[in-house]
Amino acid sequence: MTELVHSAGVTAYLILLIAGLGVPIAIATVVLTLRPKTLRVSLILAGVLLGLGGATLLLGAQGRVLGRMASYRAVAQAPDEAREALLAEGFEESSANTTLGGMVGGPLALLGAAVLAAGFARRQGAS
Amino acid sequence: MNSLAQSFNEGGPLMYPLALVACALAVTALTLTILALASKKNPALPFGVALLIAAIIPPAVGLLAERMSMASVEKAIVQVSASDRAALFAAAKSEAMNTTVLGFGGALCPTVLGFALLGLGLSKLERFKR
Repeated sequence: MTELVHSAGVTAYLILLIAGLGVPIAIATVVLTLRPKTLRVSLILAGVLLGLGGATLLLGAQGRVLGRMASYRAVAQAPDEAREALLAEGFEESSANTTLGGMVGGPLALLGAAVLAAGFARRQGAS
Repeated sequence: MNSLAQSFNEGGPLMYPLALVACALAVTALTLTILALASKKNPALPFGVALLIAAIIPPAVGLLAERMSMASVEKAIVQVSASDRAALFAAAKSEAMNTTVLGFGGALCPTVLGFALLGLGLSKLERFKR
C-alpha cells in the first residue's frame, strides 16, 4: 500500500485526503440508514458520499494522465535503447493512480448508491 | 506558477476556453448549491442533475482537444525521419495531454456538488417526509 501511494505521486495524497473524509461519512451514513427516523439525513450523506467517490475516481484518472505525461516527456529525451523500459516503468507508476482511485472511490460511490437504493426501498415498503 | 503557464502554452489554444468553462462551472456549482440551500422550495434535485450533466463537458472537451492535437501531429510525423518519430510523438503526446488533465480537474467541483445536491433533493421529496 505504501509503495502504491509512493509511486502514485501527488494525486495519491489528495485521494487519501478524500478517503480520510469519506470513511467517517460512510460510517455515519450506514448508522443513520439503520436507524428508523434518520432516513433524510442519510440520503443527504449518501449524495455527499457519491460525490466524493466520483471525485476520487476523477482524481485517479487525472493522476494517471499526469503520470503518462511525465513518462512521455522523459521518453522524448531518452536514448532509443532506454525508451521501452522507461515507458513501461512510467505506465506502471501512472496506473497506481487508477488503482488507488478505484480502491477508494469505488467503495464510496457504491455505498452512496446502495444507501440511496435502500432509502427508496424502505419508503416503498412503508407506503 | 511557471509550470501552469507552461502547461497552457503546451496545451494549445483550446486550453483557454477549457479553463473558462471549468471556472464557470465551478462558480455555477457553488451558486446553485447556495441557492438550493437557501430556497424554501426544492430546486436541489434539478440543480444536481444539471450539474452532473454539465460535469461531463470539461473531460469530453479535454479528450477531444487531445485527440485533435494528436491527429495533426500524426499527419506531420509522416514527414519526419524514422529515428526522430518516437521522440517527436512522445513529446507531442505529453503536451497534448495537458487538456485532458485540465478537463478532469474542471469536472471535480460540479461532480461533488452535483451528487451532494442530488442527495439533498431526494431527501426533501415528499415521499421521504415523515
